[in-house]
Amino acid sequence: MLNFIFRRFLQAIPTLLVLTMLTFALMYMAPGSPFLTEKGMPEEVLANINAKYHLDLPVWEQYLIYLGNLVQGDLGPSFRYLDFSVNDLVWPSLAVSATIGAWSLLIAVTLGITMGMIAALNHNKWMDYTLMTTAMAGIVLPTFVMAPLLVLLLSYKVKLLPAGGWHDGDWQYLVLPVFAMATHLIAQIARITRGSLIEVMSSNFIRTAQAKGLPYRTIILRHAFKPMMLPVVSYLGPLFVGVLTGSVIIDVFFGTGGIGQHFVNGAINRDYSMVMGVTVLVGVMYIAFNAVTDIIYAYIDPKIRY
Amino acid sequence: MFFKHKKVAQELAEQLESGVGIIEGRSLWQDAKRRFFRNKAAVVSLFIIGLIILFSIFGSQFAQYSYEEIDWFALSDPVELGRPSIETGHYFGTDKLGRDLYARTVQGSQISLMVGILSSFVAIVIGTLYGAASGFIGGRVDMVMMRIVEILSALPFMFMVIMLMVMFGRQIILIFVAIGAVSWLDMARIVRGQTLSIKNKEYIEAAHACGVSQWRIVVRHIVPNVMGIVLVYASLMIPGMIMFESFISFLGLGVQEPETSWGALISEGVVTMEFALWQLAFPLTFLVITLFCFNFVGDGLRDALDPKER
Repeated sequence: MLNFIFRRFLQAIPTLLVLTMLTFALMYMAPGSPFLTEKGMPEEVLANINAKYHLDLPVWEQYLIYLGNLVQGDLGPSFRYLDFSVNDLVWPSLAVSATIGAWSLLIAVTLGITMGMIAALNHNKWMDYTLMTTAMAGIVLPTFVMAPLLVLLLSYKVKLLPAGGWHDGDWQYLVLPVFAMATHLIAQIARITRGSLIEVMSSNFIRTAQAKGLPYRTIILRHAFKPMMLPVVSYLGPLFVGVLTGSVIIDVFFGTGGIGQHFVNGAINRDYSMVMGVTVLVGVMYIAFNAVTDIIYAYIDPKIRY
Repeated sequence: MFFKHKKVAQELAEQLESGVGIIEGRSLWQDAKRRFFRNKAAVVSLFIIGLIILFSIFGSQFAQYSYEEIDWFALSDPVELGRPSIETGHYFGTDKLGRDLYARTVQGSQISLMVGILSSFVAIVIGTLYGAASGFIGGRVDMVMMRIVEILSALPFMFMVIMLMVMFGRQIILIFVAIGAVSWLDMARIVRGQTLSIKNKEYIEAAHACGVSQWRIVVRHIVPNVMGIVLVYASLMIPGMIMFESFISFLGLGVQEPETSWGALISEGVVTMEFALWQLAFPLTFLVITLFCFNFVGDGLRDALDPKER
């Protein structure tokens, strides 16, 4: 198992290299320079700036310098906020995103699995239909629709919760963002769990367990639960992506100050190094999360050889 | 007893001669069609999608204003004069700049549907051919091709696409290419799996024996046989693409003004939802209904074409 984990993380290295290369190439190929102003700049100043950011070196050398800094955890200077490095701006906001993300993941997984199991165990009864119709609604309502609807209902019509802001993560400020982000994920997980459990419940080993006269609870918890979780676990990777992309909308809409906000602002301000920094950071987390998912999967499913 | 049998045999013989009353064999596609049209939710959804497509094509005929023209009169008091009403000709009201929301919704529907359908098409063509080729050739080539897919799908593409949009400008054609080029990966994987199970069938061997070239076998024999699963996946991909485009437009990185899309309209409507709810409600309704319908059609197609169900 340890060997497998090690190998799995080694495999992530080429992916990471491709990721940095792609983002770097995109930045290099982007038309114009971030320092071109409408007035123009004296050539000497431009040359100085280019030298400061290593823009006068050949591409491969620039890439190697970037990579070298990256390995040491330095995402480079922000092109827009001249006094800040990308690190200064990104790390505090990462904490905010992580709080929202962790809560929504937790809620999505527990609620989603519970809903899915209830629906599957009442297959084709009214409970099943009600739950699955709700889930369908959750799937077609993307985060950027959910967020305004929630604000409209819960903070504008009924003045229950604040419409935005962060305030060091007070729970009132946390509820709407977390809920807006989790809805879509709950629905997805519920659908996957339901399908998976229905399939598991009709398999032979469950019939054997029933024939042995095991109590219902034991059959579900001891025999059906683990195989049921397989497709759910393999959905964890995309789930994480949902949290990351959801965070872009949540930060813009609720003004929570998470990492997504830097990404969008960086994009609009043409702060290439910021956009790149966030892409690389998110990419690393994403790849790491995929690896972890694979490892959990191998742990649950005895059929997987490693 | 004996006579009775004889009579039955005679009737059967007559039937065979006249060709009446014999149960005909049904192909997979006929079967699937029958099953699909029995699914009411899917048929109704298909009908509604048809209506929305017609709306996006012919809706502008009924508009009293063009989608980029500003109604200065309505702009003077957007809450009262910009309200949806038949008399003023603003069926859906006006947006915050006094432009006719009906005309803009028609325009937005065109862009959103076009992005959804065209980029799914791009993704499906690339994915199907890549997956079929990889599965069919097999061996080392297959390994390398699948490793590439694996590496690419481990990248956060949502972010890459946004980066692309930022650096190369907001061109609608770029949205197609970027989204399409990103989402062929899953398709390639699915098609490869199907191809692996098909390629050892007798008819492929027969084609080999007849001296058909490899490329032609892939295009003529393998691709048509994986079409079922491709179709199911496509119908579920289109709503995903529409959502993706809306997402990018919501962030203000998608289509360029005065062109618009559902996502862009929603993001504008969100700003004014406190006093002009219709600016959010109309585009939102269109988006949600379309997504709902595509999902139902997709589910219907899956039930109809899934070989497990047979």
